Amino acid sequence: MNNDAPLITVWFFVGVLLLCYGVLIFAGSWYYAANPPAEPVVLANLHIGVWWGLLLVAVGGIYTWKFRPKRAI
Amino acid sequence: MLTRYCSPGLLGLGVIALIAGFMAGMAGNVSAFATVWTYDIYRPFIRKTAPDKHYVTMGRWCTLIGLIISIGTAYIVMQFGSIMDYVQALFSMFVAPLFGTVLLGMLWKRVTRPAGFWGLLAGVVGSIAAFLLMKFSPERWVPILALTPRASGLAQDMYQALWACVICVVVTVLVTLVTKPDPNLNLTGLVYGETQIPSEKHLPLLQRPVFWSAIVLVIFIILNIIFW
Repeated sequence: MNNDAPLITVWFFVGVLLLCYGVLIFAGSWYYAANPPAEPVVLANLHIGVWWGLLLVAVGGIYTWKFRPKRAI
Repeated sequence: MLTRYCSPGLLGLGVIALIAGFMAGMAGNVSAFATVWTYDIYRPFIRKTAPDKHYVTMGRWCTLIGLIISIGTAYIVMQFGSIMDYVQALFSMFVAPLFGTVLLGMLWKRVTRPAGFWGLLAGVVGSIAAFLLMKFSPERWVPILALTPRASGLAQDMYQALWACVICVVVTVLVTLVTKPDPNLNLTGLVYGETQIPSEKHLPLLQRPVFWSAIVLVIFIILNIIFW
């Protein structure tokens, strides 16, 4: 095994996925809140997607940073 | 519920989670189906001597054919009100009697192999019979088997499961009493009476499972009283 190759754990990919989901959900929910449809979902005034998007971005960002590829010792 | 409460972004996330769960369960079930067919039915009963390559090929074909059959059974779901009704009906037919068999096998060392087989078969047949009776003659059989004529589909499934388990246990016990156990069977570690249960006396009260079991039981009784 090459000791110079960076160590990539599955949690890095988990972080990247959560980050991507968070960005998409936040953006989509922000647009949905700014342009509500004629028949919105129940409790749409709570803007759940915006908060969940921010939460996913935060958790995904933490995981991506914490488990970013590092060189093996 | 997803379409009722979730905006498009969260709706997509919820659907992804559902599909991921279905895929994981399906992968496990397909693998188990191929294994059981190849090693528990095909090899011991149909073709006992064949090279490993043959059994690997059989497992692969079994996987493909099993998937095609499962796609076909998906059309059966269209006959039910929802996929939940379909799943609960199947569980009441096959999982409920299996629970009775496993429970008896774990707790009673006297249970014999023929008893396990016939009890499970009787439970499955009984559940299927109850399902067909309530489906094709509901006015007559729903009040009897589900104890009320107003029982919904899921309530009927619950009573199907109950009767299946009861039939399985009764038949297993009766067949056990008229059959002889295998004297060479080593049940150590498999049955409650033949297993050395680790002692918990040295543990503090908060670390003993029996204490938390009692807490859960009390909460269960309180909730049933409140919401009866």
